[in-house]
Amino acid sequence: MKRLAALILVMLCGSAVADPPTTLLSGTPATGAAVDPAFAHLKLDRLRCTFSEAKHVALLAKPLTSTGTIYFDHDKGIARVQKTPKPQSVVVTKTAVRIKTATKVEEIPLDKSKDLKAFALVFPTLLRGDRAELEKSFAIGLYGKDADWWALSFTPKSDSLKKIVTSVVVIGHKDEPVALKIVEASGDTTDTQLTELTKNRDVPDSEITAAFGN
Amino acid sequence: MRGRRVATLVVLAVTAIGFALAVPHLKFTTKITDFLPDDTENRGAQIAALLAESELSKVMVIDLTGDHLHDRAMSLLDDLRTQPDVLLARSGFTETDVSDMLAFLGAWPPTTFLPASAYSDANVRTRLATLKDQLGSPAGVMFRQTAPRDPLGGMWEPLAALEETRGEAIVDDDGVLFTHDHVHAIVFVETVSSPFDSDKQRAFRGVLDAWLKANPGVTMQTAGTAQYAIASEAQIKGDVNRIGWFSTIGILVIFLVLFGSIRMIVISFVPMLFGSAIAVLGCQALFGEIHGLTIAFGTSLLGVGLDYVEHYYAHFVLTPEVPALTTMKHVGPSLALGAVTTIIGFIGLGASGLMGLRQMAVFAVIAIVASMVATYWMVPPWMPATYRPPRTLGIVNRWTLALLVRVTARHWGRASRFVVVALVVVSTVIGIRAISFSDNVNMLVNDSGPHVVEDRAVRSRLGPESESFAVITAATDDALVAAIGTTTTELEQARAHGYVTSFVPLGRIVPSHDEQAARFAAARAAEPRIRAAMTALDFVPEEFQPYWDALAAPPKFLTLAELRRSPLAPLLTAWVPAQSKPIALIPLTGVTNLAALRAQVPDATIVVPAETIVDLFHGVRIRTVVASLVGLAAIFLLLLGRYRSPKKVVIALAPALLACIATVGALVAMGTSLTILHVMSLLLVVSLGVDFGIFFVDTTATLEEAARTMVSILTASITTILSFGLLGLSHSPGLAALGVTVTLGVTFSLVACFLLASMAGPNLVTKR
Repeated sequence: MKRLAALILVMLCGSAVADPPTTLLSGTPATGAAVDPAFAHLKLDRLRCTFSEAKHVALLAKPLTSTGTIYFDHDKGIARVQKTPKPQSVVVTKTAVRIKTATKVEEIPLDKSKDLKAFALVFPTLLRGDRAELEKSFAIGLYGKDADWWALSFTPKSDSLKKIVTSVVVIGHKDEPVALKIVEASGDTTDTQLTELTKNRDVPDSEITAAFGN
Repeated sequence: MRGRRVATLVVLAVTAIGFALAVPHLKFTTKITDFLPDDTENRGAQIAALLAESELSKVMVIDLTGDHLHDRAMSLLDDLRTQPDVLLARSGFTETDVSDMLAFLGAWPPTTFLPASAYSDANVRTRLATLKDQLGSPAGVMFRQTAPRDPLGGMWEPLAALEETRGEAIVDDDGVLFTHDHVHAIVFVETVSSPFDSDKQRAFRGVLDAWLKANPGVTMQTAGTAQYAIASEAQIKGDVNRIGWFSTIGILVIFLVLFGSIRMIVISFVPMLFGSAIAVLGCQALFGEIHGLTIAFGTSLLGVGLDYVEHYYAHFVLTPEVPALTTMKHVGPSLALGAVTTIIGFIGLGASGLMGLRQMAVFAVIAIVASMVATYWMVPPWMPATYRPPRTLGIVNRWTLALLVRVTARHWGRASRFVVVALVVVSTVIGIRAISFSDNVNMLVNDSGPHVVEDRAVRSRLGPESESFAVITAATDDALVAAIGTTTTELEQARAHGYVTSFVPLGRIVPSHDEQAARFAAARAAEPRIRAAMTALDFVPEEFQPYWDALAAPPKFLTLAELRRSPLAPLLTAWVPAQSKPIALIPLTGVTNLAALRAQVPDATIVVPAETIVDLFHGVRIRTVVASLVGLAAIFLLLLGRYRSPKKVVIALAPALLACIATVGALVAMGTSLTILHVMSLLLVVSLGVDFGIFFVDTTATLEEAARTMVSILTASITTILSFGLLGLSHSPGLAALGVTVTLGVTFSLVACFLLASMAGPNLVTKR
């Protein structure tokens, strides 16, 4: 009986973490310094989590799904190591996006487009807790409360950035980000679920080195 | 006499006024291309000239080090772009550059840059699968924007081709190129003015210096042709000043000591100055400009121009009782003959096939003719009527006479003469066998100059330089682009065979009209298959309407002219320069088998510039030797016509020939490899030596007259050595070779004259 009760409790808790309230993104968001408590949860040195992503592209009849692991390092940036549907590693630094597949390595410099750079660096800048940097390109709003479910929304300020992305929303529960939702200007959307989060010193150097490839 | 004096003054006044009026219009240059063979029949010569004149030689590389390099480089670029003499200033690509480039590439049909082979079923599927991966990646947003119009990724092809050409040594950081360690920022600049226009380039240096002064903490190094031009000009000016001043002072001292008359010194400079002024005006009129080396060479001709006056003076001073006009009538024919033989020698120099040397030859011929005429016609009327020669010349004359008496006292036996002739023959054979020639001539470059060291240091930071090029020329731009396509295919095959490691795939950036038409037709034909492949790979074909619309529209073709006006122009200009004759230069790196590469790429000329120049100069050297031998034969015939005695002709030629043999021997002994410039200098030695020989044959009726002739040869030698000896100290390898060779040659000519006198023995004065 105790085991069953524990299992139900775990399931309930699990269900609560996986599904944010449907009304989370309603109402008027808090702005300015009021978003800082949520940023405080996100100020990390390191992070490792698994991801599950579904990208809805109008050019494609079916969504593109992928799974893998995301690594964040305060100095190095973000490494997205994809396992399915095919192995691929994407490293986003402050200056470039490096895409490595089984057959080739492609580097896309970010200095050639400030809009692309702002878009690509949303998540790593958020994990560094650098609100000031993000506010250069986005209007930031906080929905919910940092002690429970919360959502940080990023809406582009410039017209040129609006041509790329409509909004970026990071959903979190207490001190952990759990989902990322991107709506592109084309109407394409990307939903990313983040699970199995490991933070800071719990992420070993060897994994960071392996993920970033140096 | 009075009438001739007035006429002389009128001629000199008119010349002086004409020269003064012309001075502001004189145009000087230090173009290295003037010293490239200009053989229009020779494709190698044409290509060497095109390479020297191409954008590759026009661009200056500026290397900055210091703090806040990115900002400093951007500041320098901003400053340069405001300068009226700056045609182009660039470093890396800014966001605007890239945006403009993508907008340009996107304005052409998506089929423009995609080869027809991309439309096979397998390739279409591969490209669509790649697009799917791109859309799924974090950078998908970038590809999402272009995909509906270009699902197969055609517009990225030229960018990928350009990416392949970028070396590892340089990185682009937000619009500024840096070395990999970010210690050096690199800026490229091209001026409107020619890099050989040293006045304009000095002014541009001033702009760079002013910017540097306003940006303390930054150091600047540069690489480019302009700094060679400035350094060459400074060097030539230095040489001209040094040669001009020192030789003038030396000549003044010698004249004062030997002739002891200020009036005669002043008069002696008239033919030389008159000859030089006429030669400068003549060259400007004939060539439209005068090369710095011609001026330096002309300055050294001061000594040669004086030879005629000296010969005349020696006879006048040592026989003051004979009227000046009579003395000139006596020595005039010898002077004229000497001048004609010298001119024949310089005609050989003009036949070298080098514009620069041709100009020097023209300058010399005009200067010699003018100074000869001035010596014959202007000098005698102004000679002093009463003149008491100084003791010095008398002493020199007495010593010379005593020496002549001594060396001609003994009659040389047949055996002795045979030994001398045998020695000369053996020396000649040994010399010829020991001669080593070098055609790797670097006439204007002082290899150790700071500008060369800096140039090499900066270029080394840009990564490995292409040592060879596939050069394509055509009658029109369209034909050129077609040939570029063919050559690119041939080069790809050569790379597959391992004959070359990499090359700029120009054909992928500049497709020909026919190729674009074929690509468009292939894409249209493939439309149903592309739609089918899209459906199979879960794409929604209807979402790609802009692509289908582009295939349905009439084709639009990109031309080379449009590319040259496009945002891609700064990258293309070095490879497809906008010159009057369409030309493409495809840089090659890692050529492993030149012969096989040439066979594999028949539609282009594979050029290794360093080797091409060597080959060209080899041809020029052979031609010059042949021209010299022809010139010598012409001099022989001229002398034969004058003397009608083979023996006298041999005697007249002997000082020159012996001097040549001895000079070559000395150069070989010094370990010098003979270059085209040594060969040309020997031509000059022959001309001067023949002058001495003619004086020797013509004016030795008595031992006293022979002594006077030897004194004139001695003074002429000293003044010539004063000029050319100083030229030998020049940092310019070309001028130094000329100076050393002529100095040795004149010295040996003088010694040869005494040797001949000795061999003639008592017959010296009865040989007529």
